Amino acid sequence: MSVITEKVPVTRAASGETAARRPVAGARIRRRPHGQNNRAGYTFLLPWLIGFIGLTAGPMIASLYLSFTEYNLFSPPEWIGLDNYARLFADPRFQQSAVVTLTYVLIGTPVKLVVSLAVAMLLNNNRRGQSFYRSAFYVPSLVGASVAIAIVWRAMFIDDGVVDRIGAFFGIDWGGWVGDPNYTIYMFILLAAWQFGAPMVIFLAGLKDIPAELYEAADMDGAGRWRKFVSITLPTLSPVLFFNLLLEMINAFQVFGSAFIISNGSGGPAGSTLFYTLYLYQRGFEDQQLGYASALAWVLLVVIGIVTAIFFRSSKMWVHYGGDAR
Amino acid sequence: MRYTRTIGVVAAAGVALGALAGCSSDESAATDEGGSVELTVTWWGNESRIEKYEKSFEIFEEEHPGVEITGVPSDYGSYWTSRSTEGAARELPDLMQFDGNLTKYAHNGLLLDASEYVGDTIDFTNVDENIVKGAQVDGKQFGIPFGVGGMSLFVNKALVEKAGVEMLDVDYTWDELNAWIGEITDAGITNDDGQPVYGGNDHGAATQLFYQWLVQKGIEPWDGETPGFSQQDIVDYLALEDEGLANGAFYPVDRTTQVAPLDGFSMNESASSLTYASFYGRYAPEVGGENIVMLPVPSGESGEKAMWFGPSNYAIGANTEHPEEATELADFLARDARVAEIFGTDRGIMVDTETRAGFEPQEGTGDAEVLAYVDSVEQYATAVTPQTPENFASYEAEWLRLNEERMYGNITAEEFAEQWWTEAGL
Repeated sequence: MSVITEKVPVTRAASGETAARRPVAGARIRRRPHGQNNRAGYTFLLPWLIGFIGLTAGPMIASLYLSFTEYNLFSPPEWIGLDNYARLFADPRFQQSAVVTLTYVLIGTPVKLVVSLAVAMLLNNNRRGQSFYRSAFYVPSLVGASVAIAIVWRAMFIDDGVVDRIGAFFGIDWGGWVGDPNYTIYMFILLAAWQFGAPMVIFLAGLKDIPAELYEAADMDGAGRWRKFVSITLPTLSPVLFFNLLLEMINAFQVFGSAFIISNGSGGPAGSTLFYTLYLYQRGFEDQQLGYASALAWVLLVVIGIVTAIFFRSSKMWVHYGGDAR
Repeated sequence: MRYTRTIGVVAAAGVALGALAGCSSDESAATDEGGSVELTVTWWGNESRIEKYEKSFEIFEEEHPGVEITGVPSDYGSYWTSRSTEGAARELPDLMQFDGNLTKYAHNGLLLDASEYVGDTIDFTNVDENIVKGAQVDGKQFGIPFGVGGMSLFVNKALVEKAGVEMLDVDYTWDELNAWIGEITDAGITNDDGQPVYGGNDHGAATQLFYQWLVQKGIEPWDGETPGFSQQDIVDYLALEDEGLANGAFYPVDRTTQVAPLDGFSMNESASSLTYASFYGRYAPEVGGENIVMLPVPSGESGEKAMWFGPSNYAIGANTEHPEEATELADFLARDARVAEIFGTDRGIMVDTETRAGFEPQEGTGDAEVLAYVDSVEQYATAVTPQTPENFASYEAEWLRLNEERMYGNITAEEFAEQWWTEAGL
C-alpha cells in the first residue's frame, strides 16, 4: 500500500484530470490519499494564497488594467488604450527619472557589492570578537532605511557639513552636496553602499564555504594574495556574487524611501534625485494620474524582468557552481 | 468533503469578520439616535495649531453635549495624498481645511454643498460678500471661509541699513524691487553668522506672484479651466529677473535647497522676501519682529497694486453623516470670537467683521503687526480674488519645479513657459 500511495502522486501530477476520469479498477482507492494530501496542502497554503491573490496578484492585474485608462481616483477609469505608454516617449521627466535611476543602479550596485565583499573578506577569519564585528557592521543596514538616517545624511552633506569639511581638509572645495545637482546622486550611492550588511552576510557565508585545501594548494604553488583572490575566491564565490548582484540591482531599481525623505518628495534639486519610483509616486498620488502611474510601474517591471533575464543568460558564462563538470 | 468543510469554516470566519465590521458601523449609527455625534476634523500646519484646535474643540463640545470631535493634524506635504485616497473611498473627514483644491473636490462630487445651511447653521451676516463668493464653486457654497490672507514684501530693516541702501518706497515697482535687490547684494555685507547677505529671493517661487503681476496688467488669470494669459506672458514675467539672475543678485538656489524648510529670509541671509503675509509668524522669531517691515506687493506698470485677499476655507465631506453639526462646527471655527482669540491671525485675518473688531491682539504674537499691515494695504486691495482651475495644485507644483530648474540654469524662460504649457495640457 505504501508503495502505491508514494508512486501515484508522480503520475497523477502529470495528468491528474484524465487519470481521474479513467475507469481503472482501484482508482478510487488510490485517489483518496492523493487528494487528501493536496487538500491539506492547499488548506495550509490558504492564508498565504489569499494574501497573494488579494494583496499582490489582484492589485497587479488591476494596475495593468489601469495602465490603459485615465483614472484620477475620483471618477471611474476611462479606457484610452496605449495613450499612457505613448506619452512616456514625449515625457522629459520620465527620461530624467530613467537616467537618474540607471546611474544609481549602474554605479551604486557595483560599489555596494565591492564594499560588502571587501568587508566580508576582512571579517572572514577567526579573530576574537568576530560575531561582535559582524553584528556591528550589519547595523547600518538595519537603520539605513529609516527617516532619521536620511535626515542625518542630509545634514552631513550641507554647506559646512562633515563632508564639506573633509573635502576642505584635503583642499577640495565641493561645497554642500545637497544643493548641487551634480553631486546629489553620489550622496545616495554612498548611502546605499554604507548599508552593505545584507550582501556582506551572504558573501561571508559564501567565503566560509570555499574549501581551505584550494588555498593550501595555491600556497604550495607560490600564488600571491591577488592571484588567490582572482583564481580561487572569485570563481568559487561566483554563485553568491550572482545572487547578490541580482538582488541588489533589483533593489536599486526600486529605491524610494531615502529619496523621498532627502528631497522631501520633490526629486530635487533640479530633478537630480528624481528616482523612477519617486516620479511614479508623484504622478500617482500628487497629480492623481493613476493610469499613467500604472503604466510607469509596468514599464519598470518589464525593464527589471528583461535585465534579470539577461543576467541569467549571461550567468552561464561566468557563474561556476560547485560540482560542475565543466 | 473535508476540503469543503475547511472552506466552510473559513467562509464562516469571513462572514463573522464582516459582521464584526458591520457591527462597528451599525453601532455609530445606532448611538447617533442616542445623541452622540462623532465628527472628524483635519487640517495642515505647524505643531502649535494642534493645541489651538484642541482648545476650540473643547469649547464646542462643552456647548454641544453628545458631540465628540476627533482632530487629525497633518503636514501639508502628505495632506492631499491622504485626502485623495479618502476621496476615492468616499470616506472624507467631516470637516477639512482647504486651499485651491476646492474646485477639484467640488467638481468630483466629494463635498457637501452647504448653500442650504447658510442662514441656518452658518451665518454670513458680517462676512464680506466677495469673501463668501470666493468660497463658492459654480455658485454653490462648497467652502466656508475662515480667514483671508494676501501677499507682502518682508524687509529685514537691519540688513538693509547695514548694506547702506535706502528703504523702498511704498509705491515701488517690480523693476525697482529687482534693482534694489541687486544693490543690497552688491554691497557684499555678511550677517552675524558671517554668511553673505543677498537682497532677496527670485519671484518664481509661487504662481500667486505671477497671477498678481497678471492682474496688475488687467489680465484675469483663469476663466474656468481656460488661462487668460499666454506663454509669452510667462516669458515676460520671468524676464523681469533676467538681469538679476545674470548678476547673481538673488539668493542662490543651492542655498535655498540646503536651508529648506527654512528660507533665506528666516536665516538672516536675505534682506527681503516676497511671499504670503501669514509668514510673519514664521519669520518673527528668527529675524526679530523689530527688524521686520512689511510692504505691499510691487506696483504694476499702470501704478496699480491690484492686491486681493484670498479666503481660506473649510469644506465638508459629502459623505458626512452629520451635515447639521458639521456646518455648525465650521461656522463656529470660522467666526466665533473665542476661537479667534485662540488662533489669532494664524489662519489668516478673521472673516467676520464683528469678531475682528472685538479681537484684541496679544503682545508678542505678531497678530497686531499682521493686522496693522492688512489695514495699511486695504487701499490697494482693489482686485477680486482670481478663480482657481481644477488642477491648480498640479500647475503650482509644476511651476515650482520648473522654477528650480531655471534657477539652476538648466532651462531658459522660453523652455519654462513651453514645458509648463505642455504639462498643463493647454
